[in-house]
Amino acid sequence: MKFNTLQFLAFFPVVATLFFILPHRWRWILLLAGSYLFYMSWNPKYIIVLLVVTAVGYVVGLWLTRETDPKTRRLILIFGLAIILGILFFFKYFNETNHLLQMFSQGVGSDLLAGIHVVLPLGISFFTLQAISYIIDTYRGVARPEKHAGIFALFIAFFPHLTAGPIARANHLLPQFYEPHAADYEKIVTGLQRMAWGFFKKLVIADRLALLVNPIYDKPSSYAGAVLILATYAFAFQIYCDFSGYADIAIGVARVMGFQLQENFQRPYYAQSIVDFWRRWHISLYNWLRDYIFYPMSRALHRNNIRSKNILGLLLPPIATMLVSGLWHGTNWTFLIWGALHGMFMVVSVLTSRWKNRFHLPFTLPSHITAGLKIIATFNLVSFAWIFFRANSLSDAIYILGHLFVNPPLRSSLFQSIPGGQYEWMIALLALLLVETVHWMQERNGSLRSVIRRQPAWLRWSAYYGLVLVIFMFGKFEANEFIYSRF
Amino acid sequence: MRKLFIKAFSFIIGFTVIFNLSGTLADEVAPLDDWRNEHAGRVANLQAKKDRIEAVTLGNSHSDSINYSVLGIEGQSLAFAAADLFEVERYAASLENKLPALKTVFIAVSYYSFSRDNATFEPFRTRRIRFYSMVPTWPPIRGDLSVFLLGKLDAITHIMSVVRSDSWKGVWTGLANDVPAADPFPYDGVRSDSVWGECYHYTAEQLETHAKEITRRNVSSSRQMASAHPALVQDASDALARTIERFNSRGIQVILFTPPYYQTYNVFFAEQGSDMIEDMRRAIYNLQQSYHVGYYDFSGDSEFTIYPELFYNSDHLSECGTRVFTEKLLDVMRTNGDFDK
Repeated sequence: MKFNTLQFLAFFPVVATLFFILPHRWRWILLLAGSYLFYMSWNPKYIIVLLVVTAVGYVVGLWLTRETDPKTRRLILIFGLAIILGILFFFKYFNETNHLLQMFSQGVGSDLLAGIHVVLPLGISFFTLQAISYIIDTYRGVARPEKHAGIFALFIAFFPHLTAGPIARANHLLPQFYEPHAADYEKIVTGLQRMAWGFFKKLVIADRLALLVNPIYDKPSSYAGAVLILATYAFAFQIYCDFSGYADIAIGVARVMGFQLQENFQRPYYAQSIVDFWRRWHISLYNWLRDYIFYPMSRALHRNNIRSKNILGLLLPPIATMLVSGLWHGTNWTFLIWGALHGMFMVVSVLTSRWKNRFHLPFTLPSHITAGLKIIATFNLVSFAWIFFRANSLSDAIYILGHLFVNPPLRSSLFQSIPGGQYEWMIALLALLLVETVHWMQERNGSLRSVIRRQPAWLRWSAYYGLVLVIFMFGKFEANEFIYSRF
Repeated sequence: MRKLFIKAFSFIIGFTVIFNLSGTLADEVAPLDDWRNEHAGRVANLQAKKDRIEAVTLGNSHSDSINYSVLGIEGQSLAFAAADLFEVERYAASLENKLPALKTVFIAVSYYSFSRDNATFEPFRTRRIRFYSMVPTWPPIRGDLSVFLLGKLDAITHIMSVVRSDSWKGVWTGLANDVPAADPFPYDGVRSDSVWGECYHYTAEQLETHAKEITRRNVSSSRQMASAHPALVQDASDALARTIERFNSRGIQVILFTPPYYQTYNVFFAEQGSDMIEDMRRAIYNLQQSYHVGYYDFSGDSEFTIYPELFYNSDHLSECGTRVFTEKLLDVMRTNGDFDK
């Protein structure tokens, strides 16, 4: 079930109403049943994958607490991680590996593997990472192992974040299932507002931009360089509005019921460096990669005295972390290059930081100009990397890169060839302007909620009516999947 | 909680008013092809003549090739633009036990009929929503629950007046010009006196231009639908088979036909979508084998295909064309013993 379907709009009010009607001790059953129903509406048989990951996480977590011998605990950890990573790798990378094996097997005259295609279970990249973080945190003694199998299953399968995050941590979410959430006016209203904002981003902007970007990226050779540049910037906003729209809806849905999910985005295109970007973009994944790959690797290198002496010590952690990030999205070369690019940007950023601090212009620029220039530079680097992320193949990405500045002048005739027509672009642009205005206000004032709360009722209600009406008038109600639910 | 309920209730009431005002304004400035009125007229006619109607036509706009006054029986067209075979099946189900005198059902089969699933993407998806809004049908077509719910919601709320597939472009254009939006499909053909009488039709040049554009659109949209719906040909064929079974089980005869198309339409379609034509012919052949259903293919009939006067546009007959076509269909059906009136 996708958030942007009528099924969900029927499902959620029923679950939320029952949640508040039921006594606290029964609520986990309702949420768990609802979450499994939510998942099974996509493909019932894949619930088995979710159940297996849940069972492994639960058993390994308890096992780790009962065992005191460090060597045995380490073996249990490896066992648990191997099973979950095995499941993730099988579903995520089988088709690619099979493709290579097929080429090999056909070479030796066998077609044994031909025709085998594994469907990627929805949200597998998210709920497996969540289970892994739980196991590692339990091993490290950071997280308290969950003894209640039902609550643990709910931690893994909680429907608001099941298909595309945010990736929750045990310490943050598990205790919330034990809290008796009473229906709170403030939480319900802010949750609904957040959902509406998410729907606006997804239905009005992301799905509209998809109609404009997809034809260009599907056949880049048909378009001039200026159009390719335009499509690349448009994709930067499409993926942001799509993914952050999902996060807004997920956070809003959870909030209505009194739960607090981790924020996944913090106005990423206001980042002043690539490192800053990753503190603002897909925060829960970045934190996961940082805690379970970057820090352990840096510590290991440090222990071996490599970090300070060797360039390898400086290069390896960020590049390896971002390569894993790319690999997490898929085995395509385009994702790997996207990850590698971000890793390299990070390394360059760190290497040049000392030099940048020593470099002085003969004149002093006002700080907001400097910040603006940094934001523009970072946005362009990120958009450049998006080319690889979005391109259908490496050859397409190379073609686009090679033709970005071919026939660049922006003439009106060029715009006539852009899919979607001027009207659709204009709506997308106006909607983005609204989003960026809100972002700008958030950057200046912090929470927008407090600004809204200070306004007179007629203005607030007009804004709410306006937002919902705009979603109905300009939304694309084609139940397009969220980009990140593919991963 | 009381505060929440009061505010939520007030919000819903207020929003309903704003929503309906917006929809009414939009309908005033840029009517939605008048499909609601057209359907209401059909329903009223069906209701008034339900005991007398002996034949109905189902399918897409190509089904409107039959002229019941020429056929000499009480009949009604229930065809609507771009209908696919899944919708035809549901429409057929909705007629169950409503037309006691029904003896014959005509269903037009176009070249691309077995390659269509309107639920797959816009603007066809909006047509599916309209279908659900108009036709009292249950359950939804498989895998189509959202569109179904939206359609049923529209039947109650007229939500489609606000959720417009053109994102209100027509409304703004209409408001800016301060006049009702122009007919999006104005007829730009010619009138001529011919051996068939006074005919409104496209000229040969217009027919060629139209054929080029419409075949490109039909073939490309059908291919997109086929890629979004695996095994579409088989599923569509099964839907038509169930429709035939449904009518046959009640002793109602089903007649399938492909109307004449202008010559250039046939040429362009064969160039771009010969596989679709093959699929269509194969599916029809299988249905004929299984159900002994009558099928009449006039698509390449040179008594029609070379005369512009008989074509409203390259894939639709003009009024003159429907008269001539119905006469010929009647003759052939009588010869084959498919029609005893």
